[in-house]
Amino acid sequence: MSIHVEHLTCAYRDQRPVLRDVTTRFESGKLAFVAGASGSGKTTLMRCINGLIPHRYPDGALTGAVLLDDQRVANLTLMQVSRRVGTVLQDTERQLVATDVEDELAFGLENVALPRDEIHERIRNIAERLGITGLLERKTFSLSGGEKQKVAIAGVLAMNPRAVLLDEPLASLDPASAREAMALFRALADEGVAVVVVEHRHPYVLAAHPDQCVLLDGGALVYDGPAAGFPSPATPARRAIAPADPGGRSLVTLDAVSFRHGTGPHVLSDVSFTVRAGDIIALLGANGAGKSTLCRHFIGLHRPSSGRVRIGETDAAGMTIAQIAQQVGYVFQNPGVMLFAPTMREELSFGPKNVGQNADAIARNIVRAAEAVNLADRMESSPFALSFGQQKRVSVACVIAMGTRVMVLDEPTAGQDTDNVLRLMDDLSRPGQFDALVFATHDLELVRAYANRVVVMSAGRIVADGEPDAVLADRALLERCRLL
Amino acid sequence: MISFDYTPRGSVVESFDPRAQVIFYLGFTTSVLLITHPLVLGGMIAVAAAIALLARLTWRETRQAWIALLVIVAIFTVLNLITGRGVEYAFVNALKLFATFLATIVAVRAINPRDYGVLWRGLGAPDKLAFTMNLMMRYVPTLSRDFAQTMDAQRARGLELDKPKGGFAERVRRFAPLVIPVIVRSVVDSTDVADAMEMRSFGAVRRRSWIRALRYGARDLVLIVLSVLGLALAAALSLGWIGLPAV
Repeated sequence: MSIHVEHLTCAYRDQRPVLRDVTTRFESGKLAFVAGASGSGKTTLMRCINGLIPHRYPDGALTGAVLLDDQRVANLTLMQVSRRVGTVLQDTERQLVATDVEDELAFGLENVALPRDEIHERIRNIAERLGITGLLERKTFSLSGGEKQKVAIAGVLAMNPRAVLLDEPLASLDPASAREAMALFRALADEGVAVVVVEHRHPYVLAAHPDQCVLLDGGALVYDGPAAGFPSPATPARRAIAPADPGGRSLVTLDAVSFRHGTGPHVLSDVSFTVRAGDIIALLGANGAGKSTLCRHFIGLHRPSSGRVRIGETDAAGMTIAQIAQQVGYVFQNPGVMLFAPTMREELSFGPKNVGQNADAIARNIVRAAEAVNLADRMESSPFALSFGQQKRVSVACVIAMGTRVMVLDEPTAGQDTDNVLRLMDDLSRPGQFDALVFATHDLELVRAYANRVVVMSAGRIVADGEPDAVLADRALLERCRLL
Repeated sequence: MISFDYTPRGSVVESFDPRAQVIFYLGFTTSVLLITHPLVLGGMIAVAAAIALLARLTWRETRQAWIALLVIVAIFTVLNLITGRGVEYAFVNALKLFATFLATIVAVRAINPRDYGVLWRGLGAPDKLAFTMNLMMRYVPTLSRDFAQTMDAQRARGLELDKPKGGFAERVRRFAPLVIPVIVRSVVDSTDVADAMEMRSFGAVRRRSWIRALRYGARDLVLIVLSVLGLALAAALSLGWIGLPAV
């Protein structure tokens, strides 16, 4: 099957075109890579191919056409399109609609009224092919991120589509898992499926030797050709970051901390670790290594099962989370978990009010925070009207406005394009912005550019802690920890 | 209060067809609503308690729900008493709450969540409505996790939930930053969920197939007949067609 995109221009209701005169073609047996900054029109292109536009978004303006072989998508029903083109969403949590994995794989097949025996047979085959037979009896809610993604892909492949669209499938995966996922997509293409991968993590996709690369910029197609000529963004340059000071003042200290949920296995085991003034710490580790759990201990969102945490010289056991938050700020992966106010000004004021700043200090600090993340001109905008990248910067500004001196970021790169990430990290690593910065990431280039100290976690333990050049030179360690 | 984390226990109650269980539950709770005689309600509580034992429910897993029930019963009883409805009225309502609660925790814990869709389809609901029941079971834990994440995020912004200060109005005001992000996320996510379902052909055919198969056995039919007879008896008592001695 081939997907023809012909002079496609698309705008959502009352808005400027998101795609402008895009013409390209995706073929069976080929792996295609679609790249572009946030807002460049990648997701809209996917929606035009899988039929959501115009079938689910009928109010927009659409000219040109998408053809599956020689049939216009606009003239097919969504069911007809979905039997040929499968789509895996970025957030697989929202794609899994059944309580159990077996039912999840059956969902699409039930919807086209296949007989029960055939459904069972297809499930058995696809589960064996993707190596997820052991998951069939599991609850979808209990799966890890990587397992959810495999189940989502299996649910789509069970319908035997001839094309598969994948929207940022690598966003939350550690390097080794990202490589394995790309190997799977490559294998699918080699079996004759047309595979289209939309992704920000260029190196992993390019390493899978895509047959075609497409670059969108501001809704226009600016490159469509082989990987060899693809204008991949340059590796970020090393910033002028002062080296870590091993004698620096202790800001957060973990003494022999172990942690587990209830009677489950230990997620952290005997972790001792100090964040010092001047540190810019990159926290590395595979999915499930314990990075987020460690970060949550810094602010009291998790309390140790044994050992203790100190904020400065004070034992955190006697402090509430709100009290710790006055000294340690934490930015969640998804800004949507915290935004609630009608304007950015009110959103930024919320934290400072909670920690008892007076009106003058609040007015001063929220302006400083908005300027620090380059959003001073959006003070009266609704946070909900901002893009994901801008919302992420608002969530950072919320912490800056509180005057906290230690900033902890969980996966600042997830779902963001390179420019957005670099802009954010430049803001955060500016001298004097914080006394210390800790960021959990899978992006080794980001680590090389910004960190002055690297901590590597594996199976709930710290297995390396040192200068970036020394830690990142240990390839055996990185491979063992699934970071290469 | 109620967890949808189902664990198979191999109990007699689970061995009934879930449709028969739901019919029994609906008949039982409707009967509880109709009946006002304390002795009959006491008998129904005894029946519900016996079923809970047969369902192998443990104190540990239902403890929180019992505490919540006691709080609710206490509030309603006090309200009934201070609004002058009398001791007997308050007592009967407390019995009704107990009976309904017992039946509900059995129903919630004895039916596998993955059967909710197919059981409602089997009871005659259209496919879309039946699958909505499945979706509800799927997204209750997600919603609960979203709420927990938002609580953590706002605590990290200095919102004091561990040692709250201020009066009732202040505590209510503190709720907005917790609820609004969850509602906004739910609305946005529901679009993604609907898209994901459409892209897998949901609603494409008039009658979809279901991988789960349910079959009535003889004792399921007996349970359904008993449920209907019980409801008829409750209606007769409620209408005064059958007299009972006053207590």
